[in-house]
Amino acid sequence: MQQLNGLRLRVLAVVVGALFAVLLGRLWYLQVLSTQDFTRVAQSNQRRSVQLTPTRGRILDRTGLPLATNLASTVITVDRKLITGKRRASDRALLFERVAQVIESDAAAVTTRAATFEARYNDQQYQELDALPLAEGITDTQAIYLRERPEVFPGLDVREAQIRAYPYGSLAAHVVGYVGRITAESKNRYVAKNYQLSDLVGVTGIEQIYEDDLRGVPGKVVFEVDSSNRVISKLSEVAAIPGSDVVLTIDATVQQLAEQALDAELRIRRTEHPRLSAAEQAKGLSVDATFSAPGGSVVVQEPADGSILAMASNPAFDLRELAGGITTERAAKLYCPDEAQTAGLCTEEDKLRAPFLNRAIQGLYPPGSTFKLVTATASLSTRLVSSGHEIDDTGTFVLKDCKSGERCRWQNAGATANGPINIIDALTRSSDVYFYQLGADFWTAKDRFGLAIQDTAERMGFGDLSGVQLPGEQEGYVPTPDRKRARHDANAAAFPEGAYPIGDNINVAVGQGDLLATPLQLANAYSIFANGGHVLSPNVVRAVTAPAVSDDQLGATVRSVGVRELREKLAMPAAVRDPILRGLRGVTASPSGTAYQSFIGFPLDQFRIAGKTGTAQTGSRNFSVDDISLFVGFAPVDIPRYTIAVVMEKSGFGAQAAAPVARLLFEALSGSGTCLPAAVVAIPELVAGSPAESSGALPESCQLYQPGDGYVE
Amino acid sequence: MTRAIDSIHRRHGDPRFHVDWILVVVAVAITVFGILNIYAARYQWTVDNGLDPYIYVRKQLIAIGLGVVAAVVVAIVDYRRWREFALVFFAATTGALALVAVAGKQINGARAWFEYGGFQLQPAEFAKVTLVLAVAAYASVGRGMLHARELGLALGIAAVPGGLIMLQPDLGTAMVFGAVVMAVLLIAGAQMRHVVVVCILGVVMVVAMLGTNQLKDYQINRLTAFVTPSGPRPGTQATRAERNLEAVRANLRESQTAIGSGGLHGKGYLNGTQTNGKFVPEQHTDFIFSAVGEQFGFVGSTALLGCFALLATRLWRTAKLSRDLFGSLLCVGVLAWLVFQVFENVGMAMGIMPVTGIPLPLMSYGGSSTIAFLIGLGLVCNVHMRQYT
Repeated sequence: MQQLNGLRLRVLAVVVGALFAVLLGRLWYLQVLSTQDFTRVAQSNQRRSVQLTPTRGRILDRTGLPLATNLASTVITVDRKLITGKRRASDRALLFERVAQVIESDAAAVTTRAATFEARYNDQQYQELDALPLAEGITDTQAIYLRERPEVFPGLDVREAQIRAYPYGSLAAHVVGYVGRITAESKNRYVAKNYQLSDLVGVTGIEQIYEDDLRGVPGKVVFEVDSSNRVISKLSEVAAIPGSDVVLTIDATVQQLAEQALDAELRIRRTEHPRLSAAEQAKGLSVDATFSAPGGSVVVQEPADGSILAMASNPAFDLRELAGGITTERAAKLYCPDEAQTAGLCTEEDKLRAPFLNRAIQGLYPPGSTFKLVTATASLSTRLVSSGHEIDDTGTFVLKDCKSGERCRWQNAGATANGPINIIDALTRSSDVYFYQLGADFWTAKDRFGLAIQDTAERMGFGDLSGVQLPGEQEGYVPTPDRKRARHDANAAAFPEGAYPIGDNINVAVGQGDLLATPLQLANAYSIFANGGHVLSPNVVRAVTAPAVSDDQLGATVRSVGVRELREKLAMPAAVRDPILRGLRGVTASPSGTAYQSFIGFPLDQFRIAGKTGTAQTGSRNFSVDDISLFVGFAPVDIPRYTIAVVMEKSGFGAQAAAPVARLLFEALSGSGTCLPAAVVAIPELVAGSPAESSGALPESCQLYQPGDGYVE
Repeated sequence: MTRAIDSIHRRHGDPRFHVDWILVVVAVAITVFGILNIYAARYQWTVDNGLDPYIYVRKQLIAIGLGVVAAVVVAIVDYRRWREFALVFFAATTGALALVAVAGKQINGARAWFEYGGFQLQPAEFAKVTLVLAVAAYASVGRGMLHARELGLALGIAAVPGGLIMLQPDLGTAMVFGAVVMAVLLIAGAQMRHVVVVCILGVVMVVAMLGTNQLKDYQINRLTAFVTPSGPRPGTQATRAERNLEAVRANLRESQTAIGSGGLHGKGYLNGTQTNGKFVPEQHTDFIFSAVGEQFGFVGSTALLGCFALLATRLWRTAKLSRDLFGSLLCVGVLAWLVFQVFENVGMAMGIMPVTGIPLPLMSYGGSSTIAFLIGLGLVCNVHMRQYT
C-alpha cells in the first residue's frame, strides 16, 4: 500500500538541511565574522551631530566702543518634519502664506515673503537637522501672535538667536568689514576648517582678516536619531567657545569726523568750477563744468607707533544693509559687475562710485607734489644738493641736451616763476622746476647715486604693501627702467612704452608719471619722516582680547599688536630733516606756502603743522577738472602726534579741497578750535531703502574753512 | 492486566493519543517569539505616532486565536474527509483570487487584499493551504507514479491560482506555489525527465517575463538588488527606477546592518538601535528576522532557525509516518511551504535572496498568513494523529 518514495523523501531532507546550513553560514558571516563592521555602520546610522555656532567676537574701537557686535534677534523657525515631503507641499505653502501674512502687511510683500521662505526651504545652506529659520528680526507683537496660535502655525517656533549687528551703519565700514554667506568659490577652504555651509564668515575688512579669532570654537551636540532623523536622545554636548574681540586702533570719534569732513568737502567740490586754462577752453571744456569729486580717502595715523586713528573711504556703504541680507537689485547697484551693467541694473556712475573699494589702501593715485618729500629726502641724503643750493625757477624747466622726439620742457602749475630758490622754499612753494632739476640730475648721476629717488621711495614704503591688517591692499608702483621694461615685455598692449627716458625720472621727482601710491602709503611715508625715520607697518588692530564679561569692559588681552618695524630705519640726520621740516612748515605757515590760504586763522604757533599739498594730474586729457587734490602733513612738528593724508579724486588743487579737510581734523585733534570730535551715536534700525552711505553731516561747530582764491600750487 | 493491555490496544489507534506535542510546542514557541519581536519592531514607531504600543500585538493575537481554532477544527476531522472537499476548497480560494484581482485593494503595488472594516484578507495565503490539499489529493491518485499526462494536469491545476497571483502581481507567493507543487509532485512520483522539462519551462517563463517587460521596474529591482552593483551610473541623473533600486538596496543594507551589528549575543530585547531607529522598513512583517538578529544575536537567531529546523523535521517525520500517500504529500506540501518561506525570508533579510514580500511563518505580523500556516500545521497534526487509523 505504501507508495511513498523513500529515497526522494531523504533527498528532500538533505535539500532542507542544506538550505538551513546556508542560512546558518550567512548568519555566522554577518553576526560573528563581520559584526564589527556592521556595528560601526549601525553606530554612525544612529548618531547625528549638530554644530553649535559660537558667539562671534566683537570689533571694538580703541575706546572699547563696539563697531561690530551681536544682537539678540527674534527668529522664527519651522520644524522641517511637518513641511517636508511631497504630500506636505500644500501644508508648507499654506503655512508660509500664513506666516508671511503676519510679518508683512501688503499683499505684494506677503507674496514676496512667502517666496523667500520657500527659497530658504530649498536652500542647501540651512542644516537639514536644524529647524528651518524663516525670518529674523520679528517684533514682539508678531512673536506673541505666532506663539499663541500653534494650531494655526504648526511646527513654528519663535526663538532668540544672535545676529551680527553694526550699530553705526557706515562708520568705518571699510575697516570693520562685514559677514556673509560662504560662497561656492570659498566653500572648500571653509569646509576644510570645519565650517558649516550655513555659517556666516567675514567677507571683508577686519571681519575677514581676523575671522579665526572672531569665530571662536564651535561646539557640538551629538544626538541619537532614528531613520527619519528624529531625535531620540542627546548623547553628548560640547559647548561652543565664544570668539575673541578685536580692538582696533581706530578712534570712532576721529573716524566719524574724518568721514564727515571728507564727505562734506566732496559735496562742496561738486558745486565748484575749476579755473579753466585757455588750453582747456580751447579743447572745449565748458566753463560750467564742476568737479565731479566722486570719492576720496582720509587717513589719520599716529607716527610714533604707526597706529591708524581713522581710515575713511568715500563713498561708503551701510554695514547693516549687508549684514541683513541684501536684495539682488541693491547688490547689483552697489557692486555693479559688468553683467549687471549690461542688464541695466546699474550705471557707469554706479560702477565708478565703487563703494566697496577701500580707497585708503586700494585706491592708487599719483601722489603729485606730496611726493616731493621723498625727492627732497633723497637729494639731501645723497648730498645731491645742500639746503642752501639754489636753482633759478623761471617757471619753466628746459632739459639740456634734449634728444629729438622727447619731451624737453616742463612747467610749473600756472607757469608761476619763483626765481632763485633753495629746497626749503621749493617745498613751501611747491616749485616743480626745482624738483624737475633734481629728477634730471639724479638720472644724469645715476652711476653715482643709483636710482636714489626710487630707492628712498621704496624705503619709505612706496611700491610695496604696508602690511596693514586689512585685506586687498594695493602695492602701488614706483617706476624704474627695469620695471618699466618688464611691464612692457609682459603686456605690450597695455604698456606700449618700454623705454625709460630721462623725462620719466623728471616726472617721478614731482610724483607724476607712472608713480602710484595709496593714501595709506602717503600717510605712512610722512609718519616715517615725522618719527625720525622709523619705518613702521601701520596698525589698525591694537589687540585681540578674550570675550568680555560685560559690554562695558574689555576681556583679558589674548594677543596685542605692538610696533611693527617694516624695514630698517631710514637715516634722518639734521642736515636732511631740518631743511625739509622748514619747507613743510612753510607750506601752511609761510604766506608763500601753497596751503597758507587754507590755514589762515589756524593757531599754527601753538600747533605747528608740517605738510604738503599735491595736485596730481590724471587722465590723458590733463584737464584740471580731473586733478586729484592731496594734502599730507603731520603735527605738532616738535613731537608729532598725528599724520593726516587726504586724497580727493577729481576735486582740484590740493590747497582747495584736501587741505581744508586736513585743517578741520588738525583743529579737532589739537582742540584748538570750536570743532571737537563728537561722540558717535548708534543709528536706529535700518529702514529698507535708506541705508546710511556716510556718517552724516558735520556738526554745527565744525566748519570746513573755504580758502580764498589766492592759493598757488 | 488483560483489560489494561486491551485498553492500550484500543487507544493505540485513537487519534487523540497521537498528537505530535513536539510540533505543537515548537510552533507555540516560535509564535510567542514572533509576538515579542512584532512588539519590539513596532514599539518606537507606535510611540512616535502616539499610538498604543500593543496595537500590533493585539491584532496578531486575534489572528493567532482564529488560526488555532481553525487548526484544531482542521485536525479533528480526518484528513481523508477533507480530501473529498479538496476541490471545493481549491475552487473557492481560486475564485477569491480571481475576485481580488478585480476588486482587491492595492497595497505596495500588489492587488492582493480584500479589505472590510479595517480588516484585511489575503486570499493567496489561504490558497497555499488549498493548493497543498488539492495537489496532494490529485497526485496521490497515481500511487507513486505520475505520468506525463497526470503531471501536466496537476501543473495545470496549480497554474490557475499561480497565474492569478502573478496578476496581482505577487512573485513571492507564486514562487511558494511553485516550490510546494514541485515538492509534492516529486515525492508523488513524478519522473525525473519530466521534472527537468518543467524546470526548463519555468526558467524560460521567468526569462521571458523579465525580457518582455511584464514586470515593473521596482519589481525587477527587488529581485535583483542583492546582486547588482550600487549607485546610478557615474555622471548621470538617477532615474526613478534607479532611485527605487537604491531604496531597495538601502533597505537590504539596513537589514544586514541590524543583523550584523547584533553580534554574538545581540543588543538585548528592545535595545536594538536599528530597530528602535526604524532603519529597516517593513520590520514587523517581511523583515522581522532583522529585529531578531539585532536584539538576540547569533545565539538567538540560531535558536530560531533551530526551531524552524525542528519543525521541518517534525513535518518530514510525519510525512514518513503517514499511513497513506495523501497524508505524506500533505506533509511534504506544508514542509515545502515552510522551508521555502523561511529560506527566502531569512535569506532576503541577510542579503542572499531577492526581496519578495514573503512572511516568515508564525513570526511575521499578518493575519492571513498566520491563520493559513496554522491551518497547514493542523493538517500535518491531523496526519500524525491518524497514522494508525
